[in-house]
Amino acid sequence: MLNQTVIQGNKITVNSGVLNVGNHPIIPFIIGDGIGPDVWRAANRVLDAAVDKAYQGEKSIVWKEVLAGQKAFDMTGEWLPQETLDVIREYIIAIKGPLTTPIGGGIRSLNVALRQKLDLYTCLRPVRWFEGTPSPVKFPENVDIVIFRENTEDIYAGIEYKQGTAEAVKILDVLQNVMKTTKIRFPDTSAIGIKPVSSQGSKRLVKAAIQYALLNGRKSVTMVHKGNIMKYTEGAFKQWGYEMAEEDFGDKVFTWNQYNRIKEEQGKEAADKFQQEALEQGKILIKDVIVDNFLQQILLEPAQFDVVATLNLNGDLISDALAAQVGGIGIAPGANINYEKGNAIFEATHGTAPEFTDLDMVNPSSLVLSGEMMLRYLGWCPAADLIIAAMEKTISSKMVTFDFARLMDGATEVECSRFADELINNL
Amino acid sequence: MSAIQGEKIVVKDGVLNVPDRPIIPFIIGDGTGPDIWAAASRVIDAAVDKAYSGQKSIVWKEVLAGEKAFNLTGEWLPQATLDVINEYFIAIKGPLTTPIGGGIRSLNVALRQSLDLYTCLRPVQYFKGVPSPVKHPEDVDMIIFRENTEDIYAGIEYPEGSDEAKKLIKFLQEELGVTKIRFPGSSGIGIKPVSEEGTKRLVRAAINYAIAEGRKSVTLVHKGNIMKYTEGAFKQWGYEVAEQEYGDQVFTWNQYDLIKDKEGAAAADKVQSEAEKAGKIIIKDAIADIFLQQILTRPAEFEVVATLNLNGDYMSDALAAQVGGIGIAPGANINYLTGHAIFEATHGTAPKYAGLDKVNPSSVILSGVMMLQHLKWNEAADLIIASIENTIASKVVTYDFARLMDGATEVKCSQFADELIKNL
Repeated sequence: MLNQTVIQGNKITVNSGVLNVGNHPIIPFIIGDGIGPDVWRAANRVLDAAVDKAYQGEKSIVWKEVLAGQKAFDMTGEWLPQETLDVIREYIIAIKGPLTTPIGGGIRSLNVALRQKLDLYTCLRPVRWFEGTPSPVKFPENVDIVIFRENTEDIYAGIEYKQGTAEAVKILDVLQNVMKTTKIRFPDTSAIGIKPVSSQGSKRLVKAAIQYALLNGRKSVTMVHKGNIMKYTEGAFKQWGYEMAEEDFGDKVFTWNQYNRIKEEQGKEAADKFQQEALEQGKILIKDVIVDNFLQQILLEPAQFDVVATLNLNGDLISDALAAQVGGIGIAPGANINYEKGNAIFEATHGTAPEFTDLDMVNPSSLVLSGEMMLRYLGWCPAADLIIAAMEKTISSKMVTFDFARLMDGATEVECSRFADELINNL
Repeated sequence: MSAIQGEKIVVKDGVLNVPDRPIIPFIIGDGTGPDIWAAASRVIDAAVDKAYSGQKSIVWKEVLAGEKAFNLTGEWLPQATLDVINEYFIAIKGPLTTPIGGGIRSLNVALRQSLDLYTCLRPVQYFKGVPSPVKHPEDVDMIIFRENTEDIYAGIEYPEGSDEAKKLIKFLQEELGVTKIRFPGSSGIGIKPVSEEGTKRLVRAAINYAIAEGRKSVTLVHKGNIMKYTEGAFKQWGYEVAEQEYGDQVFTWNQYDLIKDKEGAAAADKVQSEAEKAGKIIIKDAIADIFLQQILTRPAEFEVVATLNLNGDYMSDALAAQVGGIGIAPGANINYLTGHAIFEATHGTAPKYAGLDKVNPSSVILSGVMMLQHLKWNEAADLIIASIENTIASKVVTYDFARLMDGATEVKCSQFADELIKNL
């Protein structure tokens, strides 16, 4: 039973990066456009029920709606009202449904605005398989990977110059005449993109990944990079990551950098022995892999990967490839987080699917699982665990929405709201 | 048997004129290279002999590169090797040792750059019986045209804290008003050039291939939603080249969108469907991350793929793993304008297996198949493909496949070649 008296709610506060959540945190939500209201209603009920069950009514979330997207535009004339940004900044955490792309591309600036204003430098994407989910691979159950994708730099920073513009001409001139590069194959007709990768940006991302691994009992952090080709950006990312691991986490980790040093000094056997001992002591293994090899290994031996830390573009491609592998394109959750300040936005990774609006038909799992990530982020792990267990039970019982039902033998197709009912029954 | 004289291949306006006895340079390769080359050259020779009843044959001409070159001449890549390949147009090469200090990258780069081999061609197909991690590997039958000379792989980079990086960041901030570098004080900088000329010659090569080989579509794979002026421009230039130079031989999604805007989706679908029936090649595009998903969920939708350097690198390797083909994937670097092409193994030298007659020679053999196709000796190429299908399906395979297959008969590298020849 939910408490019937109106609960006042408390603001989440942050002290040196540590959240003080309280028992009744106020959490802003953006309901989302298109199928947003359907999936939000479902997710909201599941989250509340899980918290209630886990804490027998002692804890609850006090939801606070804030506006963005089409709904905001219809009500206020703005796609992303300043008030929404202010509230999310003030309340630290938010959860959001899918948002309409306004013509002219303003939505990218909406997501970018949220990310940039709050400096949400990690895009967090957990990828795992739920038993029964239709998948294109033979052993989807071997995938259980959490991706830390850097969110503020790399070739995705948005610094680009169109072919033939004054800016492109100027920068080509600097590259050729000042920097003396001869490696531009067709300088007269080139557009130019800029890829910044910094030690600060790399280190805070890798730090977040290692902290996550420690906190969640994960065994390894793999840095995924293309440093064999891009030595000073992606190669540096790897090097900075190893530096951060060794400097800040000392005896809690063992790195392949250390392995290689031991191997050079004392031979391979000694290095293997050190690594073995470190792992037996529960140290986290910090390793690295070249991106294209990673894309192969996730198909061949995905169980060797646990937490992954990577640059922006790599993280984008890898998250989506892995989601497809576990049959999870429609149900993948995600979050954008600044672990130093505590700010975080949890979100559905799918679109608004306007043709299904208000049909109570679509799969709410992406938002439900984003909520599950949020609960874990709050430190409410018992509630999060209940949701995972309910999800496993419900999907393997084959009570699923149409998207899964059409790919499963012997499935019972249920509506979005019924799927939420089933999840709640199975908590 | 008297020694056959052999003739040079000549090229006129990009078209190869291949004599019946072309001289083709080969680089034997280091590590497992000699084992593999011995197997591959026998299979290729036997296939040509059988296809043309002795009327055609290849006259192999060894050129030096890698460790063998170093041991014999003191140089990793002798100028003579570059000159011979330049003169004879086509070459085939085994895997090469990476010399300490990274000189080998410059070896491959030197070959690529000196001959301006702007396409990295990577076909990916499934051979029945090959162990694969996915449920339906047989749905994959693609050929990737990866741009080979530009993009973020061009090698233009400046390390954090270097004078160059500082200078460049200062220029970007002060002259171009850039505010989007999150940590300008500690950034290394990479440069991504993507040009109209480079893009168009690559897409042209892909469309020409699709027309010549009767393929149904060319998909431009890009990340233009994020990188509008480089990867988005790649897509746009690709559509331009298709529409301006191939007119009624193609139908593009660009044209589809124009019709849809004016007359609605039903009209656009109808025109596309008619174009398909008329045998036109559909030129379409896909965002790179969606493409990585769809090669798993609906790979049959893709045939010829044209993409930028980094995307092509990632996609070729992901697809090779999907069909169980990491150890057997072939590749080629080609300049379709000059006719220069080097066909090669995509795997490494595996030095611990050197001289053991153990490893799978399929990567060089399949590179040889690509070479025969390039020479338009398709009859010989088809014989080898059919033979590989039969041999793998009969489960007579080298150790790498045998350990992953139930009921396989493990054979040596040379015996696998014997089987292939028997099954030609």
